[in-house]
Amino acid sequence: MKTLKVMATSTLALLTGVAPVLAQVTELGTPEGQVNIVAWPGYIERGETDKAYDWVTKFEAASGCKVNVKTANTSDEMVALMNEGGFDLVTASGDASLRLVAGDRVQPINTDLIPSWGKVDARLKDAPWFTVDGVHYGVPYQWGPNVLMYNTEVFKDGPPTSWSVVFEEQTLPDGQSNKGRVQAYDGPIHIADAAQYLMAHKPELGITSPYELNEEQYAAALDLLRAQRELVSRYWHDAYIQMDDFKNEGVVASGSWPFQVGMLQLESLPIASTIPEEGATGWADTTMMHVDAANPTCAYLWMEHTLSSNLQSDLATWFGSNPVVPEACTDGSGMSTAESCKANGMEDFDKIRFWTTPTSDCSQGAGACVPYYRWVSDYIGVIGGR
Amino acid sequence: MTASAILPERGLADRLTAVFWRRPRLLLALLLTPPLLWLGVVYLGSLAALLLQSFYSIDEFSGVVKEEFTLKTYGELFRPSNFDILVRTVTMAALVTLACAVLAFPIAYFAARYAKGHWKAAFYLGVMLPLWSSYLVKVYAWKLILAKEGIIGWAAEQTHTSWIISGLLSIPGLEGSSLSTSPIGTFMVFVYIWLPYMILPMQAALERVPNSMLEASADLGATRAQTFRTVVLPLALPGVIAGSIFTFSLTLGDYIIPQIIGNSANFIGMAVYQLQGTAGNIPLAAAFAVVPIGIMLVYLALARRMGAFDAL
Amino acid sequence: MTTAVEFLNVSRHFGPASAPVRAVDGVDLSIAEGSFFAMLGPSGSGKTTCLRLISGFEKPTGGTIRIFGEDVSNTPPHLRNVNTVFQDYALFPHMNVRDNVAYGLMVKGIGRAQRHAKAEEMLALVHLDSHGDRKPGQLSGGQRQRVALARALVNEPRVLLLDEPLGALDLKLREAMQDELKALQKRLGLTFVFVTHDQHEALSMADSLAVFNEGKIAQIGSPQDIYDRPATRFVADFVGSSNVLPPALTKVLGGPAEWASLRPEATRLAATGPASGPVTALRYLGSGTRVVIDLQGTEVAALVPAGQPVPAEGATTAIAFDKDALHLMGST
Repeated sequence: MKTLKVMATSTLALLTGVAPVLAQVTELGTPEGQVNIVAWPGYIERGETDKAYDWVTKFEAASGCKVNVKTANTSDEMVALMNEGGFDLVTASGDASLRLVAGDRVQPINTDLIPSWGKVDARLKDAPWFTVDGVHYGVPYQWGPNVLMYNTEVFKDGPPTSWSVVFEEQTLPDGQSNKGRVQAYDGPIHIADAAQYLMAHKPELGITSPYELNEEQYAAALDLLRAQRELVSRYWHDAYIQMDDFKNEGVVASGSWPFQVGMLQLESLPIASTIPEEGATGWADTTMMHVDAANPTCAYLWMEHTLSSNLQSDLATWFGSNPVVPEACTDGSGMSTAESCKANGMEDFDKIRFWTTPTSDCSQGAGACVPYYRWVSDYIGVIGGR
Repeated sequence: MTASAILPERGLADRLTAVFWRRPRLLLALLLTPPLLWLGVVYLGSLAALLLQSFYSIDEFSGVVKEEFTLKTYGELFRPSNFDILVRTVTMAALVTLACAVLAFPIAYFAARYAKGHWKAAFYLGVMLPLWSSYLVKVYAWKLILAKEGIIGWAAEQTHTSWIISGLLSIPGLEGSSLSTSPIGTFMVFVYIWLPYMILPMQAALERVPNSMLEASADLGATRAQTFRTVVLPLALPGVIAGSIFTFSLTLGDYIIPQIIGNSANFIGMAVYQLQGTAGNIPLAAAFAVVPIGIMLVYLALARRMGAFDAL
Repeated sequence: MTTAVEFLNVSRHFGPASAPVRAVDGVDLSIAEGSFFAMLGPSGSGKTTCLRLISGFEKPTGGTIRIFGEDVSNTPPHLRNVNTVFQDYALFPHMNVRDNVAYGLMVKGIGRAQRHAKAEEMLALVHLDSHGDRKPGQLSGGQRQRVALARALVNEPRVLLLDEPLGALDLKLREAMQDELKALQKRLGLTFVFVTHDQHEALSMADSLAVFNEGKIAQIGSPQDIYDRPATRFVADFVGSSNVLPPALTKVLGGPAEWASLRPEATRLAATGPASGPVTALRYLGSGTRVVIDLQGTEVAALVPAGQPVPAEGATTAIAFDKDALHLMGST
């Protein structure tokens, strides 16, 4: 029924050409008793995986809002769940957040009702993946870079300084070629990594954002990836498979997440990570509120809670990500320290170009850029040797 | 006092049995309605939806699905990069099926014609046991076995036969840094995973070939090879075809194994998964998904023409 | 007369050497060329194993088998110039009737046209000329039996082996096929070796027959020999509906103290006699009535021809017979 209603209103909106006026919450009422959240696995921990990581129990006791979590494994799943309705919040990544805004699935946030808003990293407050025309459609949750993971026994003189170790054939410091010993991400978004490499090495292409590529820039990125195909014996898409490949397949360098780096270091393997001179791509997640949220008060209380230094600090060490509240790194409220934040890339914010979905309408003009669905089919071709 | 010719009804079960006896079709209808609904609505319905989607196309600029009939999406299948995927998948499926058939036949033949008692039980256990453990566990185990620093590489090093593996891995098209990153690895794991699905129907078919049929052939002067070619194989063919339908279609549709083992080159299943996901290119995903269905239909038609089902 | 098949002390044992199952146990046998030879016996008596020893599907554990004087003990089935009609016919379901019949020629490498012509010839022989294009599944039992026969004959074997070929047919068809088989054998002049458990079939068709019991031949001879002069109680019991008299009863009836067989049709009812007893069963046979009398604990049957008076069940009666109708079989 609800879906029908949603469909009816959307259709009506389309027909009349008028976007429905989205009211934002002006004041908080009494807590409704629960809040329903769609989240990435591992994002909302209540101590069930590891007792030390629990940022739910205390919130429930203090607010009286029971937290119900529905995990989703892909951005598409998240969007689908939000379209179905019945949820109050979602931890949306950059490729889902704008879709949710465009589809009127989420409502603007009244930052006045979130006392900790002021503590949010200034670099994130107006980030474009949740801020449209100056209106905030969510509260930042966590962010992280896609780092260059490498084997310290091979790179014994120090970390590689350029992504060229995974893009161009060369002799590595141990005297052997990098052919067959490097990996790349098995997802079309890796085209952005190639574009970013070209920004530094082929300025004549005039790339300004790795997510906004015109035909010529796009073709150059694909050419670079075709050369990379010769070096890569297997692409990675599953963190655990990549870890296994570093252990058993003789892989010594690859784009990766801090998560894998941390896990491998836990096993005392000679693994480290770096953000090379070209910079890195990265992801940033936002807590967004459903347009028909049934529990707005609890939802606001939760959003306020997510910005607490303690939660941000623990979550960052748990997930290998970075807090959106800078003081979480240094105030000792949780497990993060200045060192751990540095390792996760806290200081590299400016080097990171956060993931957004490529669309054909971009800063180069309407219809000027290659849209994401072509990234998908072309990347399939590149991996297939075309 | 004599007993009545009609026994008294004892309850609902008696009455129902009587109703079904008087209207035999009623029971049949009651039994068949749920599965037919399931098949007709859920199964064929979703298939029809799939087919319908494949005749839509995606708008080049907005990336939005255009719900108008077009063959453009099917045309896209013939773009080199997409066509590669089809050729790669079908070739792999055909090779896997062939290898499974060759490996399965002796096993099935032994089980059907010679194994008795404990040996038969051992056979079933041996064939079924791998099916009881998780598919993923087996695939991950194979990843370790085939890895550069895995047991096969180690054994080759110990026996100074690494040159065989390096030789295999230098064949154009099969390159990889180890068996685990080469199409050879993908092939091996496919064969391992689907082999039971070939053995079991083959064994069932061979078991139905009476011994006297083989004796009659020998009696009439046929050598073992002639008997095999003209009697055993044609009679076992329905089983071989049944098995090959399993191995062929399972390989055509699988997207897990080539993701974990091999050189990441796409198979149909992987392409469908990626295209329907973030890309939102449902029409192309649907067109890809229609391909295995079409291939299987052609395959069955060919098998039928070749007389695979004559002995049924 | 040439000997077609010869067994010299042939044995076939199954199972472990320590406790073998003696399916065939020291059989000596000689089958004349051109004869219709039947192997008769209950199931498990070794008759089918003997047939399989001739065709080569079983290897003898001991002894020698000769076919037309040649030792075939080490010759595989496909090299023996004998062919078999199997009990279940064993027609190849995936081939049409013509290809089934031509199979023996095909494996020899004979060209399609030639083998099809020969197959049609064979089909005509068994009156199935127009059935070449059908599949075995579309034929009746009798027709399948004829196809099996044609298929076995196409190679022109020197000996044709038939393993209970009529067992699956109904009575009327069976009788027709018996006549037809016999006629065919006469016409072709071939040696037929025929396995059956049906004594009537064996007696009516065979020129000579061997009665098998527990892996050994109990008696070998012409049908008349076997029927009128059974060598052992087993043969008497199995082959005929003969009465088997224990030594004591034989003596009472006027013979020596030996086992004896007495055919019911040679037995008459009499008002008085050396032994009498109550009628325990009556069976109307059309041509007469079979009357069973309990004589000193032994059931003795007499055949009363139609038209003669039949005693009631329970009435006491005696029997009479001609002296030479009593066939003696020794005291053990």
